Amino acid sequence: MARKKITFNAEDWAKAYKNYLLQHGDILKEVKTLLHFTERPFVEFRKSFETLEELELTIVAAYFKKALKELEKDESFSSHSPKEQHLAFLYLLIELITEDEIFLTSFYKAKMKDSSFMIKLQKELKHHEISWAEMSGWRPDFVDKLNINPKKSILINHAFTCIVFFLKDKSSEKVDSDAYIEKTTDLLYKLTDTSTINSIVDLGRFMYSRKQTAFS
Amino acid sequence: MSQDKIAISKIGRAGKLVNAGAKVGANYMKHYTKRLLNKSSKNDLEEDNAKDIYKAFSELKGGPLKVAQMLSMGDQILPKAYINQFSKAQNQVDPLSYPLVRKIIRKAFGQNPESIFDDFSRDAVNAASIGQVHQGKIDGVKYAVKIQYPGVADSLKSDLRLITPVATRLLGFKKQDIAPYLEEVERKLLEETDYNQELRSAEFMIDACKDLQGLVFPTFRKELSSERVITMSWIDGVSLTDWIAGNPSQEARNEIGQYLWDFYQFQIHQLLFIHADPHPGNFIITKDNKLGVIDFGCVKEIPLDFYKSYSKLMLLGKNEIKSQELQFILEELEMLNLSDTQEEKDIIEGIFNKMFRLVGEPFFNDIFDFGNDEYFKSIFEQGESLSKNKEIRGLSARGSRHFIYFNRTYFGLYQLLNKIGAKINTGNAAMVENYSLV
Repeated sequence: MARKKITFNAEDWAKAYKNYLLQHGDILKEVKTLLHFTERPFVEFRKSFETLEELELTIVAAYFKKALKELEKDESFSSHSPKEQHLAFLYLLIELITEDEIFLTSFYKAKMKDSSFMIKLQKELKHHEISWAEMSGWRPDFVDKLNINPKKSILINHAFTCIVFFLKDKSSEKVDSDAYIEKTTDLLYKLTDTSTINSIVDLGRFMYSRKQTAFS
Repeated sequence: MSQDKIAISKIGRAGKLVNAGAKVGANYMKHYTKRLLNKSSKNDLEEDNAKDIYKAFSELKGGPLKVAQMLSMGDQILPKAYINQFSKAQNQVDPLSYPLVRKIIRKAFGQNPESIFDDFSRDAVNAASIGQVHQGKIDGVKYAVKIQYPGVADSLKSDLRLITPVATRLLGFKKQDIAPYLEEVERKLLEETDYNQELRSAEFMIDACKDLQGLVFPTFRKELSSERVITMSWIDGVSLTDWIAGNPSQEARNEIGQYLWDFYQFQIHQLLFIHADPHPGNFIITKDNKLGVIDFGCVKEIPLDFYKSYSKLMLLGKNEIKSQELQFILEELEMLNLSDTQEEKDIIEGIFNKMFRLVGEPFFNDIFDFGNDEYFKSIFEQGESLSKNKEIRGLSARGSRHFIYFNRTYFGLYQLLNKIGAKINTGNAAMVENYSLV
């Protein structure tokens, strides 16, 4: 008989949460149930998490973290363009969630439609460094003043939509998810392309700086 | 180049075609307004329409693009503006992103392309209707790696349903003329999406044709091929279109034309199994003037009964056939129905008698000049007069479904030879005769 693990770490709690959902077909409502399911004391849970929601956020964020970590190991990744980096990230993320598709489908139905949970999740994910989300070129002053990165938010939200599409995708071998990723990424990068604005601002600066000489 | 733009949902795909339809409507308005000012010709209108339809087909890829390819081969059927636009379908569509290419290869073979190949092109070197080609290298040997666009197979059925009204309204086809054949087209297109099937067809055909002169075939890497990826040795050379554009000598044209003719006659009359996609993008001309065959996705098995009846028609110009016998052949080919009146039978018989004497002409000459535009003009004129013939318009849709790919192959071959401008030895009547009497 396998020996009972001495202490549960964050990963063990996440695993237990997933197992519970897979066995009972519903998400956990209380920490108490998880403690009962694992036969672990509350004090042990508190060593890893403050609340059940924190555990849930960690579970979903872990897929993102793992994908980012895997990409760091990929030597060719740095040679990709930002758009290709985003695509590579999305494909890897989808590969990772494929392993937990049954869990995530149930989890999505119960949790990922909850906007407050999703806002917290996005906040959690914003702490991670996403190199291809760096904003370059001109942007409004308030963006820097408020220390916000709207591009990062857009990319994270885009990743969420890809996950949702994947979970609902009924095409054979989920090939439509690939097409969805290609198509939406293409659109996203076209919509967020600021090169035209950069040119307009550049021209504006030029005209302004020459107003005394050229247009006087 | 911009990234892939495949429309995935049925609504999205329908939207593309509806959009094309709306644009065509706008083109007509533009045309009639301009015409009031005497500033627009019908060619301008066709050019605008063709551009918009092609754009919609191109973004949808899969079925519509395949149809665009098939239409572009019918030089004598469509106005020139359509041909110019649809010819693009033979080698120009937006590529898939490299991360997706990596994912597909990783999923198929468990490793990234950089781990499998010593060298692998990040960008597609060629784009086809349902896949794109990358170049890889292993131990100094170059390979063509064809990767299928995602969702192509799933989209084909709905695409074909969407194409029907567009084709009938915009291109002037009668719905009943094409509806019975869509099933055959659908079956063939779906076959093309299975690269395992392509590999089997290629192996069969390459083995059967290995002793034919002047042909170069790729070798396939089975372990690097799957349902969505196919890996074959790279054939160095230029595409047939580029080769023709380079204005080769008449001798070289004749040589290539002969290889092509012999290749097809062997398939038709001996294998009863044909490479049914003779468009220029599927052929490469090597440095030493050999004909490389690089795509085996579309093949067609010819039923013996159909073959025998068709061959008898091809020999109409050589052997005098009694009216009763000709009508019997036409019945076998489902061109005549039992319910037809004698008048209808006479109309059909007259058409086929005329048409097949013309189409079979190359077989009754030892040497035939496919570069002779007059010959193609007479085929076109006959086609034109048929399409305008009121007696025919009143007839119901008819003909064996096997006509589609068989005719596509014959007309595709003739047109390729015309483009090449080849004057070749075509005295194969004896061969046709022998086999048609089997």
